[in-house]
Amino acid sequence: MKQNLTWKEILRRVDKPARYVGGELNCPTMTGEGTRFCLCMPDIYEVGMSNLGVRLLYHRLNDEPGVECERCFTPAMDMVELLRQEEMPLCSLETHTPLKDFDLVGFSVQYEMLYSNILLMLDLAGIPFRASNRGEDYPILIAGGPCAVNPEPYADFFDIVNIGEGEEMLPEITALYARHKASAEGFNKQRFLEDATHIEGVYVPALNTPEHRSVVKKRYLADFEHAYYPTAQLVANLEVVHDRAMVELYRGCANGCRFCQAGFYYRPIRYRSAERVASLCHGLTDGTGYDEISLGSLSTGDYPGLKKVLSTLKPESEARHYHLALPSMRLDTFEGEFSSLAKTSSLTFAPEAGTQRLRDVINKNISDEDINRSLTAAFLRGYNNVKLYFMLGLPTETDEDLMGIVEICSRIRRLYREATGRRDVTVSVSCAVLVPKPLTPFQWEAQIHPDEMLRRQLLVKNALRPLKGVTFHYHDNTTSELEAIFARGDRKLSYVIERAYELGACMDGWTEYFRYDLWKQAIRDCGIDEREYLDAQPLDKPLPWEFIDCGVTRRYLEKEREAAYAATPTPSCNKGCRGCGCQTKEGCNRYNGEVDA
Amino acid sequence: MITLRFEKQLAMRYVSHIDLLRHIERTMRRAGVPVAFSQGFNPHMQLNLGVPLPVGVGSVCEYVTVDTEVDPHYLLTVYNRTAPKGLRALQAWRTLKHPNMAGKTVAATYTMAIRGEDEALGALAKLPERQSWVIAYPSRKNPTATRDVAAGVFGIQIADGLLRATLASGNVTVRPDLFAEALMQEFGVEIDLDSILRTAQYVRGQDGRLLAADTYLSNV
Ligand code: SF4
Ligand code: SF4
Repeated sequence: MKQNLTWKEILRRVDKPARYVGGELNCPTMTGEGTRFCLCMPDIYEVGMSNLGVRLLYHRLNDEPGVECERCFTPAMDMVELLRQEEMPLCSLETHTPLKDFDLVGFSVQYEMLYSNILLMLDLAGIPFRASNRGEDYPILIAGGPCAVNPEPYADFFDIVNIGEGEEMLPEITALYARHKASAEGFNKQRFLEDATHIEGVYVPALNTPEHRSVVKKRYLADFEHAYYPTAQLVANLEVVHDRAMVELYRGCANGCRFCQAGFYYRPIRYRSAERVASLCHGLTDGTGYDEISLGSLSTGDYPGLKKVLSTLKPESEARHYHLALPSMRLDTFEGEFSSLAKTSSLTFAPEAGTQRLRDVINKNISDEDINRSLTAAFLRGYNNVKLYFMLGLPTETDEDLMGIVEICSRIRRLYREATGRRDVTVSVSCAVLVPKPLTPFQWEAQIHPDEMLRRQLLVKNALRPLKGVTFHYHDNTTSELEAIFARGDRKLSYVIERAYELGACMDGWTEYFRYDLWKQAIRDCGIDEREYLDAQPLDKPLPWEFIDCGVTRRYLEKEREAAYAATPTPSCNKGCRGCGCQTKEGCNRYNGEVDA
Repeated sequence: MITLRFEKQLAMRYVSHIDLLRHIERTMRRAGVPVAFSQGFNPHMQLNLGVPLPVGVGSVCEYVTVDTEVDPHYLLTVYNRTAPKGLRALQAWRTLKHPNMAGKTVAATYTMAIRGEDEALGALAKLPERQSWVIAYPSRKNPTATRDVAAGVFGIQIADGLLRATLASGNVTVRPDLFAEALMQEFGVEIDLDSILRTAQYVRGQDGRLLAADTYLSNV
């Protein structure tokens, strides 16, 4: 029942009120003037504030003259209940302004399980879900982030979807908005949206429908070296998931693992020099004071300037007591010497598949010898904790491949014993479920049925049980099934998201809130056959996301698919251009006019 | 060894004790102040905070002891150059030994805006004379808990709509927000919970009386 609580009273009643008040270090002072943008992340503060993209776009927009960008995250359930009870609209952190009152509201959509939270936030904000039901009085709603690879399931909720990297696109959109607002004839949503389609990367779902398609070109930052990068970044007021500064070493990845959407979507590769990385780390320490800087990229071990960055920063990181973290190190590039320059508490490797044959299918170019050599070197340096990441449900996978995972684990124990004479090694095995993703050579594959998946998971689990010191984690495969449906979904699915939300689905990224039964019911209620999305897709069928030009061609993906079935690996782009399609664009600097087909 | 007195206001009021320590550590790192680190596998900056403040309550008298050799006024200056809004440092003392604010503090004064009938205000001003005063003292584990806090209410003054209460704070603590809620409950007065501000902290002086922390720090 409504108690007429004030906002301050609500803050006193919720857990971790620091999530809702803003005022963090490096948070700009707002005046409420100019173009007002609210950057939203459909996840709680601790997750949203950990996202580098959100931090970047926030500062990028605030540094734009005439633009003020505020933030809003999904409130935790205790706050959701109080807002509902008090009929109080969802507001921005900085000035506590209702989302409805902003000029533009942008959502960064990181993964499929967040779709219901978008609706939760819109609902709390009192904004109608469908773009077609929002008149001139509502803000322009924009979506962006990794899920823009296939925006169709949520496209009907947004006025604009940003395809590709947003750092340049968003300021162009706010500038266009300001021009339209100041124009003599006044702001008109339709005219604005029509104009916005001329910005590269901008997709306006209402004007570009499955019935009347035009191609949208993915946007990417060509000059990554000189790209905007703020060093006085927001520092969260409570401990967040990734409580550290981050510097991207490069964008894109040369390896082309066939299951990996990021590897294809973020092509071509664009580097940042070691000198620039080092000076950004210096600036971030002055600007944030974090005790850890993560040198991020899709595959950090492949960064040619890594040793230079680490040795340049060694004296400073020691004097100022911060350490450099290296996420995403690939097994074949791990060299023990990095461990003396950067802190790696455990060895993390992702062979992804248990046998050489299956690794050739997925194009994970790691050999058993690589594994042996790297691990022996690491064990001699004192490591005794190995984390392994695998994927189950890969195309052509057999039980023999699954047993290969077990074989790798027993080999690690043997190698450790041989290297150290001891037995106290711990191995943690984590098995994800393959979700065939758009823009990969596996985009046509079937999603393995949950029952069969469970059989495979238990097979590995039971076979690992006798091995001492080995622990096994696996994913809930109902989540993967839903992810698979949405990854390859079309516009019909927006009704499923709406229906599931109506039935009570939200916070689906959190196991304690995820209710698969609600989604199943929503799918049924909408008269949809989920097999349409889960079964193998015929090659001759146009796929819902194929109106997006990401650079990589369908022909190349088909070729890679055939190579997968033939278990033929494709070498990294570092060893020559394979003609993926990006070579026809201005961007790929490793294309020298020749394709090593 | 330098002890800083700093405020905890604005959004920083909502920062928990453990996060506060992180904020100060990061401020020292941004400022480039050379602070001693502990030894061991996971070295951390040698900082010691005083008695925690309940989340949401403001303060102009928090204390942190920093193991550094720089000049106190230099520290004050560089700290404030890069401190988050709401965590400004107000004063600095160099002390010969560790002042151990967390262990030595026994009381704190809080102010809060109050409105009520003269009779009610007069009655509540006599609270320190009571032998027993049982109030609701909910915690996360036990939302219906009560506690006798009479021994922890050291003094109450009311002037110009402002209540000034000195309460136990340290090993034994009476939380000012729960104290205020109990006053509203029992005396029918109105208190703006949002206005609660910690304005002074005390240690036990040699004569057994309360000694202002600032005075104590000038003599350690
Ligand atoms: S190494 Fe493979 S899995 Fe990792 S980002 Fe590159 S392509 Fe993707
Ligand atoms: S154009 Fe060639 S080198 Fe560039 S990403 Fe594509 S295959 Fe690799």
